[in-house]
Amino acid sequence: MLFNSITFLVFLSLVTTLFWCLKPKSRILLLFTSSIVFYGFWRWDFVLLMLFSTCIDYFISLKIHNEEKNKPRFILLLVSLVLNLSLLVVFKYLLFISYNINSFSQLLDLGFKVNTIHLILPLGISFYTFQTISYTIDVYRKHLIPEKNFFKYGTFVTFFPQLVAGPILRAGEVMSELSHTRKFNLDFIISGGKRILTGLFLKVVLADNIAPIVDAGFLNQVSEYTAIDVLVLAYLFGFQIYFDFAGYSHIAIGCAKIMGIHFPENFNFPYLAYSFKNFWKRWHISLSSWIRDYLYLPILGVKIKNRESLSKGGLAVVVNKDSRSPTLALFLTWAIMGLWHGANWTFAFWGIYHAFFIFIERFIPKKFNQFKFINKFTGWLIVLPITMLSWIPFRAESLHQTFSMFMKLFNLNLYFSYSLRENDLLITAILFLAVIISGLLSKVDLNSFKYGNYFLSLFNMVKYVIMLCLVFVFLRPITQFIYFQF
Amino acid sequence: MTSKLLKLTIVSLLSFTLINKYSNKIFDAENFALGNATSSHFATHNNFPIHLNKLIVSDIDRAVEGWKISGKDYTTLVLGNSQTHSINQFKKGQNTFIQSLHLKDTISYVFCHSIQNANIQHFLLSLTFLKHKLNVKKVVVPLFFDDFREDGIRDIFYPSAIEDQFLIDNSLHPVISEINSELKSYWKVSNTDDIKDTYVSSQSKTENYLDSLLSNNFKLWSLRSNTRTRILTDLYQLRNYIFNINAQTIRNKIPFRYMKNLNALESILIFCDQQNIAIYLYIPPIRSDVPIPYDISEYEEFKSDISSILEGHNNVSFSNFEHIVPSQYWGMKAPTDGGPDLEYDFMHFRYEGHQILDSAITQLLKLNNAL
Repeated sequence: MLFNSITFLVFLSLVTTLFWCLKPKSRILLLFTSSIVFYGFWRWDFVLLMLFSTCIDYFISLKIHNEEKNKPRFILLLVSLVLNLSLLVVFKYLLFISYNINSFSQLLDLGFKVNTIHLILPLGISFYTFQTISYTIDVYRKHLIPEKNFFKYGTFVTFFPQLVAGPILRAGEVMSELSHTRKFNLDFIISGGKRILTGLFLKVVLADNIAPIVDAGFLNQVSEYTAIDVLVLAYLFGFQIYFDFAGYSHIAIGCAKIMGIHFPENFNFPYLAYSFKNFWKRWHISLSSWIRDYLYLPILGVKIKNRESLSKGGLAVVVNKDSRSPTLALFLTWAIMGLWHGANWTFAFWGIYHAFFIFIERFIPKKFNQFKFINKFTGWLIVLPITMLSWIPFRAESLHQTFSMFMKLFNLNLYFSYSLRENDLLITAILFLAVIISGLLSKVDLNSFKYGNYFLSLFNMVKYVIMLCLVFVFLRPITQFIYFQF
Repeated sequence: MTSKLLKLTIVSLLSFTLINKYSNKIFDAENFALGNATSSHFATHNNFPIHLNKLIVSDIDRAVEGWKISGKDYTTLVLGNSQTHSINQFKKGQNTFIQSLHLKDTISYVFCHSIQNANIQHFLLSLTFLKHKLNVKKVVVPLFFDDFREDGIRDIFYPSAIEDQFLIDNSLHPVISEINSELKSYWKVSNTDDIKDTYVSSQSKTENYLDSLLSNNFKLWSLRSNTRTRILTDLYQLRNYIFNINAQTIRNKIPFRYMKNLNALESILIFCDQQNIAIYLYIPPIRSDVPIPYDISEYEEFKSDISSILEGHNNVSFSNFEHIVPSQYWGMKAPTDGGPDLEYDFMHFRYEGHQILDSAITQLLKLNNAL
């Protein structure tokens, strides 16, 4: 079901009403059933696949927990990983792998060809697979006691607000939230509603109206573009994907909130980041921290002794004498993270691009940190354009298109004209200012000023009136969220 | 708690009032672009359409029926933008030059397809599509500098059910693959309806049901499309006001769009060569009593580019009609920045202008000889 639809708003109203009318014991069953209905609105046949993945980890985790010997525990973990990752590989990467085998065979004239099979990519498979894998690993690492109530565990995996595009939840964070018995409070509805409205505004008013310009821009022949055009397209797509995905996260957090369930934040004004490490503490926070804890640190060979050592985000280097090369771990992690986003070399390139700049950043001497403001401002000036340009491989159809666009940036003569419409430049400039100003305003504590709280109330009222009007007018399920395809 | 409920009520009431106020006026985007003094006219003959704007399947069928009943062997297709279908200060009984051409031509069936803010890629798509429907043997193509600034395939080229008929043979020109892929990408998410079938599933069925339920019972909901257009138009006017943009502001060439349209023109020429279609190109009239809103050197370059692209192609006639309509036959249009002052209209003229253009095209087609 698409969040940006009337169907979803009706569905959410029904589920919320029932949730608060039911006794706390029955609420889990309601959430589990409604999550299945939510997914079934896309394809009923794929509900079984999701339930299969859910069941695997439910039973294996219980088995791991009951098993005391290390070897059988490890074998059980391997079974879970193999089954989960096999599903992901079959549905997401089979076509990509077979296509590459055939290209390789053709290149070396090996004379064989494997059949290519087009399979439908099950919605949210990358997200729920990561969630179930982390659950089993946490049980294996003895950071978590597995849940015996299948419906509670099932709700953790399938809970509809986060099912198709995150935030990627950790069982430790959410299970207690699901168990918590809470009484109805109007605050839940109001604060959740505000988040949903903000999310819908970002999606249907901003992201959906930028999308046609970006789509047309990436359809055109790169040969006619100037460097300015490439920069404009990179920034525009950077804004589109931010509004789209942050919008989705706002709606997900808001939906959980109206039922009194707290989800962790997934975005924190990422385009104000002053370093690449800082960017990944602000963008898709739940994925960054997941990748760190379940991919980067294991590749690095760092042993996690207890639950507290798990990160809340970021990709800081942890080195001990047993660890492997942090550089190798960094690049490998990011290549996998890139490919997680999509079965195309463009995504792998995107991952390696980020790894490269994080790698470079590690050589910046710590002494620079003493000039905090200048340092942060200079960092922002450098990080923002590089981050925005990273969206080119993310959006481009092929590596050829990516490199053709990047090559334009190295021709100084192409910085004095543009081929896009003046409007596209203007829209980019306005969005740029809006994103920066809103980020800076979020740091201002108006309550500390005289009459600040009155001004804040007035400002918020005007903001919500404008957002409500625009969402009412622009709400249409014309495009799915970008992250649905991952 | 009470204060929160109060705030919620105030926000809801203010939003409702604002939407209600904004939606109450029916807004016609097409006529807004033309201005109050100019109106669109699409000719018919014996109740059959001879001039189309949108390519609706039933209209195309009627047009083909009209041609077949006429008994004429082939069609002369006239392509155009809003200049072709608009009359400034229209009076009852007047019509565009299309109708008089249609009546004058005793040998071929004159038929027109014109689109506001057209580009040359549109002309190519119209020609290749209508060629097979109406057996086109002659085509008249106006070459507006403005149209070379436009890009993108409009939604009229993907009416459901027949959309694949618009695909062009890729081998014609390298630009075709770009146009075809653009067409295909639009079909995926058809832009013609408010509700797109992103998922052909329970979602779209429910969404359509709920949307029609709301539209039938809630006026503000049914007016959303109109309100959206109004909001976007207001933003457009605001931009024009802030940057002091008006009808006389210089419109520069947009290099990649210009090249793409030039390539589309070359594709039209190749297509006409292959299909043995006679092609008549003309630089359309533009008012000359005030400075034109183009960079003069770019405009001259444009005309010379056209001349050079014609070399080596058969069956091509090219004329320049830019000064044929005298200044008194041009109109004024509503201000584009929302202000009080009328602006010069460089695109649309009065009925007298249509009569002059009719004579010029008659000469171009040598219809006088055919009479």
